[in-house]
Amino acid sequence: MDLLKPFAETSGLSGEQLAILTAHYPTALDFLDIDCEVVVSTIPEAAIPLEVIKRLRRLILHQLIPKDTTGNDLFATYQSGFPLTFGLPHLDDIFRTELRNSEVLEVCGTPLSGKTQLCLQLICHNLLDTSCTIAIIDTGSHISPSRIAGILRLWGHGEDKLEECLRRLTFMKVTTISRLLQALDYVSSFLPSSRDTRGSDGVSTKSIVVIDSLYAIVAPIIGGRKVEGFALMSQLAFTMKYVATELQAAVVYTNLKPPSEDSEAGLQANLGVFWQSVPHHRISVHRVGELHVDSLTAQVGHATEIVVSLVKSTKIAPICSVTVCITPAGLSWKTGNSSFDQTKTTSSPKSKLFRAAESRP
Amino acid sequence: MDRDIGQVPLEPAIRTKLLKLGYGKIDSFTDLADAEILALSAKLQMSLDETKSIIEQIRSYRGSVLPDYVSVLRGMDLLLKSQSNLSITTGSTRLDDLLDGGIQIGQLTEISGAPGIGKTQLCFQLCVNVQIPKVLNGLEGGAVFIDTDGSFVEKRVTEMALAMLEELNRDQTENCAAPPEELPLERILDNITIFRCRDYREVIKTVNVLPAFLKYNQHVRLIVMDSVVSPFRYAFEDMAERSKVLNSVTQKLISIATTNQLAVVLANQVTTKFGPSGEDGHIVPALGASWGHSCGTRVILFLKDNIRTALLFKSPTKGETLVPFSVTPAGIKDYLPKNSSMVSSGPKKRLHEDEPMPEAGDIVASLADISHLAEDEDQITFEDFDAMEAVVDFEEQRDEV
Repeated sequence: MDLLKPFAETSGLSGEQLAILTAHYPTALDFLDIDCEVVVSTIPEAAIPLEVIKRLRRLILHQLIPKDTTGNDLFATYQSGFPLTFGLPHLDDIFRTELRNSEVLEVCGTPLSGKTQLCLQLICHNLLDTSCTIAIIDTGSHISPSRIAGILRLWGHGEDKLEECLRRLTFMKVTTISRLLQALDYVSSFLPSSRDTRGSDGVSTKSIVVIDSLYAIVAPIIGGRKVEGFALMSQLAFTMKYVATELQAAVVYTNLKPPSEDSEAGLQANLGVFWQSVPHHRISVHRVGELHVDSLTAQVGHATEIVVSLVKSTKIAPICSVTVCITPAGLSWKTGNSSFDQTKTTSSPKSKLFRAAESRP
Repeated sequence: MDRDIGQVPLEPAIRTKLLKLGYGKIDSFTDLADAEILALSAKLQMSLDETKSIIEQIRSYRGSVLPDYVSVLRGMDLLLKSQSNLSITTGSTRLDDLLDGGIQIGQLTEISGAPGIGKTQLCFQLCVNVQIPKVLNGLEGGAVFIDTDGSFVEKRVTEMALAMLEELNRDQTENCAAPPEELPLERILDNITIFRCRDYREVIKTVNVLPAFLKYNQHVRLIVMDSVVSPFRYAFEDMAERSKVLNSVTQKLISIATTNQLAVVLANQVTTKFGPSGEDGHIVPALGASWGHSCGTRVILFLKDNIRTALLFKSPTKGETLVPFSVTPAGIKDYLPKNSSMVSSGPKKRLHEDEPMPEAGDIVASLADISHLAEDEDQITFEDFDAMEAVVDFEEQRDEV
């Protein structure tokens, strides 16, 4: 709801007329609701000509209606973007280079499933690209710079490169949703793409925003009987989409997934049905093996295997899953697998549907 | 970008009024004339000063300027900062190694384990160890103990404090370091503030009071909550409500830990989780999956081959790691094999004459028997577990489903 005053000021009304008009119609919406003739007759004391009211109406509509964009414009934007990669061929294969900047990716999984490790792989791989700006919004102490430094060292990078990389990395710690919104706002002010999608040398610049974990921040405001939380959640969804689409940054966040053996529920992430449609892509991370003392003890000294599957996408059929290992040097391809099985599918009913659709001539 | 006033933490009533009056955007407050502010205060039915403070609050939400309470750091600076961070020693060198030098400042650490395994002992030890003087590489800080179980035993803490003082004096004479400031026993006990919370409402109150308390007690470097689970375990019928309250408490604690640069340690109980058809009872930390993400570092204490063992299973820096430790009259120490003269008692026996909660010790013994049975793949019936209400929690199991 915008105020009427800023619009009316530009339409050449006298101070007195303006005061009377805004007193009757404080917001632009109030003004647009009423026919121009009625406006004139309601406030005869202001003596505003019908033409001026009509002009004002056109002006407001012109400013409030979003700019028209054609498919060509959108395609040009798409082509100038870049695909977001994890630096692990088989993991990238499940996206078929269709995971791009200007998109929101959700990484969901139960606790200890390797969500943060997946984010770290993405961060470390992209950090090596000197044109890439990465902002990490940490809601607890989930991401540690020493872990990032450790991975980069194991990848064989020297201390100079390490320092240069870490200097390009911005850490923000937030603990409430309003601060997260502010932090996202702040991100938009320093991302290179907010000023110009191309850097000084004409090369398109990358920017990535990682939020780990989003669930921790949203959880305190949902549940119970209050509806307030939903207003903030939709505001958050809006802001994330804004950062992604308008600023051409990739937004990656982690969400929790309820533990369940039920394959139908396996497609769902936390934060309710409302949230399901927010991200462009959703990948689900699932840890191989049980999560209890005995199995965790057996895990000591071994690489943890995780299954990454694409469960939602606006562009590609989500039918692939891939098994990778968490090692001290980030994620690695599961050793012993000689070839990547593209046809390996998740057992969910949805993916079966997709397969049926694909096999149809 | 248009910023909605929804993101400013205003009173809901005021926000609704502002929305109705057409002030839905933060930017619409940027250049308000005095007359308009006066008119607004009349419409809001509030005094001019109140209106001005609200406008000020909304104006402070500008995208390009971040308030100083949201810390923005470059990765390199954060790395250097974390390297110079001191941590709280647990008393056991190997346990410290497991935790990258001890309990980390500015983070949440969860310690879970069966009753009697040594969670509370570790908490007491940390309350004492946080006070080691700076000349001896300590933090010289105070501790806050949020006691929800009534488990704080002054006698045991005194014992540990005396043992620590003795050790400090020995260290000092051996290393010929500068003499530490005089640290009498009374001051050690004085430096531990105890908040006794009987239900979750009191926990919420305490957590909300803590920022103000810490303002006047800036030396506090450790907050311990023993245990985090008991006020929440059965208090809620609606599990969504429970995870909401629990999550807001945790987020507050994270915020306190980051802003005040102190460590938060949360003791958690364990529950037994069964497979889909009721087989394979395994020990997992209580409070379920929605809690699991809250703590950056998670450690579970359990008996492995009758030796107290700590398993680090979540950490921002490393993978699963396992170390043995022991609880002695002098507190938490490195585990030494049985034939060594240093070990005062086996873990299955009662540790000390003065050990608190003797019943808990008994449960450990029986739990050890049961975990032994499980290893031998003997059939464990539900009745066996039923008899041990303290250990098995079917309620929790139901939550998970």
